[in-house]
Amino acid sequence: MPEPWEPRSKQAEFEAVALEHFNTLYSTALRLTRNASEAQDLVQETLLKAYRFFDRFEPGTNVKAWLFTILRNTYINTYRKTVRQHEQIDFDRIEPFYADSANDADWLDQESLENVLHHVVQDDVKRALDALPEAYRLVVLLADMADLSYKDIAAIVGCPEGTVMSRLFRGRRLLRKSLQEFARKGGYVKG
Amino acid sequence: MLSCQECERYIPVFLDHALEVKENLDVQAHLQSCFSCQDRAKSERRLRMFVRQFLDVPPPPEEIKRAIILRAMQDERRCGWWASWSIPMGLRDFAMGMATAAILALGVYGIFPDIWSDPDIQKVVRESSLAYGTYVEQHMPLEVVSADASAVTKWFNTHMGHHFKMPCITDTAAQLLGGRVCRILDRKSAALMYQRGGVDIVLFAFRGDHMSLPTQQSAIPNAVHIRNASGRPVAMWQRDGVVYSMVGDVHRDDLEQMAKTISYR
Repeated sequence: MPEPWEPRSKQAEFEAVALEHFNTLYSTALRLTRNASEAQDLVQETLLKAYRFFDRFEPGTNVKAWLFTILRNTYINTYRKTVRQHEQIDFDRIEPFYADSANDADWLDQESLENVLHHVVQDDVKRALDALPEAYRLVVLLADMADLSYKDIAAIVGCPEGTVMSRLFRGRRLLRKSLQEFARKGGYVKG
Repeated sequence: MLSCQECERYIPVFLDHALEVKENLDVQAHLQSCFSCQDRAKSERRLRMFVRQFLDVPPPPEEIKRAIILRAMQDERRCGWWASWSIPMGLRDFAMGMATAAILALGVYGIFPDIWSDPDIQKVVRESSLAYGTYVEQHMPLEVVSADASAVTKWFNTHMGHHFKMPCITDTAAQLLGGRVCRILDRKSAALMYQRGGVDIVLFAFRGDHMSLPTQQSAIPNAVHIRNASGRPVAMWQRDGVVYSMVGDVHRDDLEQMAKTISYR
């Protein structure tokens, strides 16, 4: 039985970190793989790799961003190969974020949005998210579910912060359009 | 005072708490006095909350969570025994030799007589992938930092202890970052770091006179052999007694294409 003042073992330290971030890792993994069993495998593989290098992890640095970097790389290596065609987007040709956001004519006022949101169901949200190009989906998940900063997301995804902003903006806009479309098709809103 | 158009541009970033102090204050001031922009900000916030609420899935039960974490740590102990660089190479060599001997004894070699049954080749593949994982995931510092292939080649020529032609990826999308000396197959090896489309690519080169990678029947002068290790592809080839291995978190076809662009200096 270790004394209370003794430093925690690597195992105990890691377990605490893993437990703290498990739910967010799992939610993100589930939305990426779209399959509970694969999501569990992806999280386990992520944690295995993280534990392997945990000794070399520098305390004080962002453990959450580090875990998500491993999750993203593991996902790309293990699960994404079969859906590689979705990745064929030339992101270098994407215009600057601000030029795009200034012309966002699809913005809904609160009342219209509430009307849309009142009628869409959980499956619509999942379908809208799944329909996003993978690069958009990943940044939306990292920002809106994992609450990571642009800087952390940029490091995880391996692109400049400006690109993160741009993908995030477009991803959210596509989500909004999809939800609007589901509500329109259901005859709940005009448009 | 911001215009509505400027404020609209800032709202998504404002809600992400990512604006600089001044812009943040400007947006706050504008929102206090502009109902239209307030509505837009509320709308955006509401949508995010709505999506998040639906995306938050119930996590697996606590016992499954703990089992996954425990399994990850136990698997690491099994895999990590091989993965750990602190394990003496001799011990690893011995164990790998024994394992290979056991496989050969079972007659597997006779059924699958390919290059991957060669224990040295297996080790190169495994160690290249592990070294890559260490560099990328741990941000291992480079010993020479330069995008200039001549400068990096010159550095390696003085630090490797012997001269050989340094490989350079000529694919224009790949950018040289620098390199460091490491050990592959318990030999001094050059590790050249590249980045391509935001993904790190590491190219190892070391003397491997004792090894012999067969040349396949193909148009490529020095055939590239590709094998997956630790979930990522490793390309391997041999040229003038030097063994090269290249690793990256990319698709194996992309890795092979990159390998075909390599020139030697």
